[in-house]
Order: sequence, then structure tokens, then C-alpha cells
Amino acid sequence: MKQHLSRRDFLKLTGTASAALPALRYLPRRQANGNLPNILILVYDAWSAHNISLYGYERDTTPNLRRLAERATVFHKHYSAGNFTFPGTSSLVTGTYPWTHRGFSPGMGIDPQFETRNMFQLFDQYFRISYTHNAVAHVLLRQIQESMDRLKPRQDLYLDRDPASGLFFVNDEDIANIGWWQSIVKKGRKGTYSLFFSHFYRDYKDRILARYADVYPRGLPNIRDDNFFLPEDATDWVMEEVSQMHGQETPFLGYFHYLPPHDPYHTRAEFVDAFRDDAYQPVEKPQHIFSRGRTYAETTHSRRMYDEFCLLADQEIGRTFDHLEQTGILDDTIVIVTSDHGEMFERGLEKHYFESLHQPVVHVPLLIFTPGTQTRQDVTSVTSSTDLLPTLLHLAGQPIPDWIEGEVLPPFAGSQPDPDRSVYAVEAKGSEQYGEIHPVSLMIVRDGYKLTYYDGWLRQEGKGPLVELYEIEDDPEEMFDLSEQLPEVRNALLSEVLKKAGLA
Amino acid sequence: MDETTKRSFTRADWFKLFLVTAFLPHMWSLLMIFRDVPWVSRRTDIWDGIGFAGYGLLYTLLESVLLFGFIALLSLLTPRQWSKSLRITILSVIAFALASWSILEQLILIVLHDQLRAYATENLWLISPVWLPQAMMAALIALTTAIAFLLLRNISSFRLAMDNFLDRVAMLSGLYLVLDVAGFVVIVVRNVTGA
Repeated sequence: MKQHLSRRDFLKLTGTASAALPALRYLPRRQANGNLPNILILVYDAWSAHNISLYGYERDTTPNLRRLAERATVFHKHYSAGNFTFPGTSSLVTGTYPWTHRGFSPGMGIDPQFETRNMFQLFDQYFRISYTHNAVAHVLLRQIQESMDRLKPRQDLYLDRDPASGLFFVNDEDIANIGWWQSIVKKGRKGTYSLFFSHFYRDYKDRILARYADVYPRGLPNIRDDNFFLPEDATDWVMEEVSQMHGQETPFLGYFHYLPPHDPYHTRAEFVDAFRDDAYQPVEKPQHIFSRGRTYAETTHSRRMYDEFCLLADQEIGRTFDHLEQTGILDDTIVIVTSDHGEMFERGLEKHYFESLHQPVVHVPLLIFTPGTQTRQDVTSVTSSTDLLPTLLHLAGQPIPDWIEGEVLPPFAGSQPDPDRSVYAVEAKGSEQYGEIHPVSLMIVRDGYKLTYYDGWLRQEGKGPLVELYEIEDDPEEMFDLSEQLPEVRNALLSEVLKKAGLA
Repeated sequence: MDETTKRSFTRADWFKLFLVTAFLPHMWSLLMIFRDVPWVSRRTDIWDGIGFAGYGLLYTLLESVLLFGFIALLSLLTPRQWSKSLRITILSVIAFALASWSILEQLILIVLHDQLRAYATENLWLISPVWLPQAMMAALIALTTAIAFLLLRNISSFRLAMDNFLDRVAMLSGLYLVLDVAGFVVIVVRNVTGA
């Protein structure tokens, strides 16, 4: 056995130690006293980093976030592992990619092994509480409910609830809700299945909307034209709940997953038309193979609606932080602000219900607030939503299980970020849960390049797999596909991501 | 058997009336379900698509029951001096008229949605208050029923044809009920297994 340190080992050790020194400031104060820090995770659904002024978006959609970022660690190249709620959130709470947790869609859930391998289970010495407005996120939280102390029913913070998913079919709420929506609630060009009852139901709902027309002139935020809610109610409840938990002997882990700025983009009166007639013109991009035929004018209009709704989400974040600061909760609580996936308004596509993995649907915000930190740090290395769980474990001084695929985030790890690191995203909602993932969309980001691979989707029929390669540092708008010009890069990245997905 | 008893509906009469009442709501729902199951399946998977169809059928069955309840109440208003078969046929025609005009309304909304929306925005005075289109619908239903009633009372061949038609409709509607049962089983399985 080697008894003495060699010069080389000594230099390595001092190098690591000096890199680790800045990380010491992130150690929570309570932990220094032998206590565990509280953890508060605020997830805003469908919030694209591409529409956040903090990350350089031309419209000032996040004045509060910019203010708060001055004492946060801000991650600039943070990617969700999926392009919609179920895989994105599953990766966030399990620290694994969709090819591991197998939660490609809410109907199948995640692999049962993750019912005991998730964020809530790993923080079992905490009081663990969660809430979401989102029916799809709620499917996941219900599946792992045994790992937490309290899951607040999502309908508790609705103004009213649809009887299908809210009262009778709580074990199948996502599809029961879609069935109710199509049968009874839906308005407009699609029609309803119901020929009579829908008229009465709509009249009843319209009366509720009329009561709030002054505050929400575009209509109330809701889940599928029903299940109306006030975003401020959820913020108020979280603040109250957190205040109650704070100061208890047991630390708390709160996971709160708000729907805004997810569609429908029904913002508050003070933000309506905030960006109307401004000078901003989004980059016009060609229609994609997965285009749903939306015109530039249509996507530009939807983008403005979304941006104005982002102002509401930002306001709620500001309110939350003001409360956390005033009550001293920030002093011993790690706060995370992030999203489960993004939103997109380009290439003939709107929102996120599609196969594409373009930047706006996978590039999401991440800000981490650690107790006592008063300065801003910007992290520009590539990170993944799978990193959140190991980072929290690290910050709380907990062991990190080897099944976690994410890594401790750069400033907290105490070592330099790996420049060769790859991060991935997967979209496979049409795939079987086990076996070969197909149809599939895959993304890998590495060395300043981003490769996307699409195969098996209906819109690709007869066309074979599609591979796109972008030099994402220099071409963040993904305008110039280099897959033909750089075959070596293409093949290397493709080979890696296919192997990861078990498709090589 | 006295005259009153003969003129009262039997269980079979009620069931036939229910089947006829349920026919058009089911036909419309199934058309819409066939339209929507593909996108629900693509959104997640086939099992969700099947579950979605199950919920659509369940809600349609419940609506059929509500409609039948309304028709059953109307049956109290039909004069007892009419023959039983005429009353059943008239009530069936009313159920058909209600459903047909509602389907037409839905089709107009689907096909002319954008034009109607633009028109409504520019002519708020014309479509407001909302009872106006509903009153128009009621008038159309009343007119259709009145015409059908006159034809049924005065043209025996029309009545015979209508009775034959309703018999076939009831038979087909029976098949829809089988689908409803299958849909209900799917919903039970999904809710027991947590989908």
C-alpha cells in the first residue's frame, strides 16, 4: 500500500482543494450547525429559457427574476431531459433520464422501481410535501406518493373542479379529464360530444369567468377550459405552508409545481397587452417536418400571449421571495427555481405537444439560491435537469446513490466542470414502456454542438430517421443544420446518444 | 285489461324509447371519438386512446339517460286518447328532432367557426342576449315536431315507415349500448389499476 503522497498526488489534492474552496460558501448555515437545510423547489411549467429576459430575451418578461438573480447561481445552459411534463418532471425527481425511469407518458407512469428511488424517498429525514396544478405532474406525484408525507390534492387550489378527474376518476385523472373536456367542455371549432348538457355546463362556467373578468380579462388560468384557478392562491398557500413548516424541528422539502406559464396564457389584467406593438420581431424560421402549419403571424401572436403570461409567473416568484426574505426562511433554505420543459413558437409549431426537441422546448431556467449567498454566479457549462437531485443531496450532505445519472452541479461540486460532458433529452410518448424506444426523438448536447435524432414518427413516414446538427454556441437559434458538413461530429454524437438510448 | 292499462307504456316500450333516444347522441359521439382517438393515442399510447373512448361513451350514456328522463316527463303531457304507438312515435320524433338540431348546431359551429366568431364580434347586438339562438333552436324543434305530428296523424304510410325506421334504430342503438358496457369495463380497469 502506498504510504506517502507523491508530488503529483499532492498537486492534485491541492488543486482539488482550491477548486473546492469557493464551494464552501454554498454550504448552508444550518448544516454547519449540524442541522439540515430546508429545501424549496419551485417549478413553473412550460417556461422556456428562450423567453426569459434574464437569459437575454429581448422582452422584459422577468423583472423580478433579474432582481433576485443577483444573489443566485444562474445556470445558462440548463436542459430538461424531456419536452413535456411527464418525462421532464420524472427526470427532475429521479435524477435519471427517460430511458432509465421509462416514464415516456403519464399513461404508463415511471418504472415501479422509482417509486422508492426518487427525491422524496432520499430525503426521508425531511418533512416532504408537494403540490401541483398540473394533471400530468399529479399523475407522477401520485405514483410516488408513498415517498412523501403530504401530497396536496391538486383540486384543493382550484376555484372549481371538473367532476370527472376531480371527483370520480382520481386514479385515471389525465385521461378522464381529457374525456370530460372533449365530451362536455370544449368550445369552438372542434365541437363537443355532448349535445345538450354541455350548454348548461358552459353557462355555469361562463358565470364563474364573468366574476373574474376584471382581474383576468382573457379568462381564468385553467386546465383544459375547466378547473379554473388563481395562480396567486397557490403562491399564498405555499407561503403559508412554508412559514408553518419553517422553524419546526424537522426540516422540510417542498416541491411545488405551478402551471403558469403553461397554456392557456390567461394573464392578469395588469399584464394584458404589455408587449403589444413593441418593436420585438422573433426570428422567422422555416417550417419543420413536424410543423402543425402555424403561420409566422399566428406563432408571433401566441408568443406575445405567452410572454405576457410569463410576467404573471415572474410576479408570483417575486412575491414568494419577498415573503421568504421577510420571514427569514431564505436564511436556512435552499430555493430552486426551474421548469419541467420549455415552450416553442416557431417553425410552424406552438406550445410543446410535439416531437421536436428544438432549444425553446428543452432549454429551461435554473436558479439556485443557497442560504447566505448575496452575490450572483453565472454557470455557462452544460447542465441537465437530472443534476438537480444529486446537487440537493450534496448540499444537504447526503450520500448520492449510484443509480442517479445526473451530476452535482459545477459550482457546488467543488471541482471544475467536465468540458466533455454530454446532456440528453428524450421524447418518446408513443413508445412502449419497455423494449426498444420507438418512435423516438433524442437530443445530445456536447462540446458546443447539439444533435437531434428523430425516428418513427407519423410525420416521418417513408422518410427515414432525421438527424440535425447545430453549433449551438454560435447558432443558438438553430438556423444552420451542419449534419452534412460535419459528418465526424454527427457520427460521434449520434453514436453516443443511440448507445445511451439502447438503440445502437 | 282496461283501456288505461293498454295505453300505459310497458317496460319494453320504455326500453325501446330509451334506445331510440340514445341513438343520435351515440352516433354523434362515436363519430367524434373516431376523430379524436388517434390524437389521444399519439399523445400517449393506444391504451389511453381506448380509455378516452370509454369516457366519451360513458358521458354519452349519461347524457342519453338525461335526455330520456326529459322525454319521459314529456310523455306525461301526451294526451291519453292517442294510441300508445302514436305516443311512442311522437316522443321518439321529439328526441330525434332535439338531437338532430343540436348536431346541426355543432356542425355549423365546427364548419363555420371562424366566420361566426368574426360575425359575432361585429354584431354583438344581434346575438346578444344568448337566449336568442336558443329560442331559435326551440322554435325549429317545435316546428319539426309539429310537421312530423301532422304527417304521422294523417298519412298512415308515413307512420308505418317511421315505425319501421324506429325499430331498426332501436336495434342499432342496442349495439351502441354493448359498446357502452365495454367502455365502462375499460374505465373500471383503468381506475382499479391506476391506468
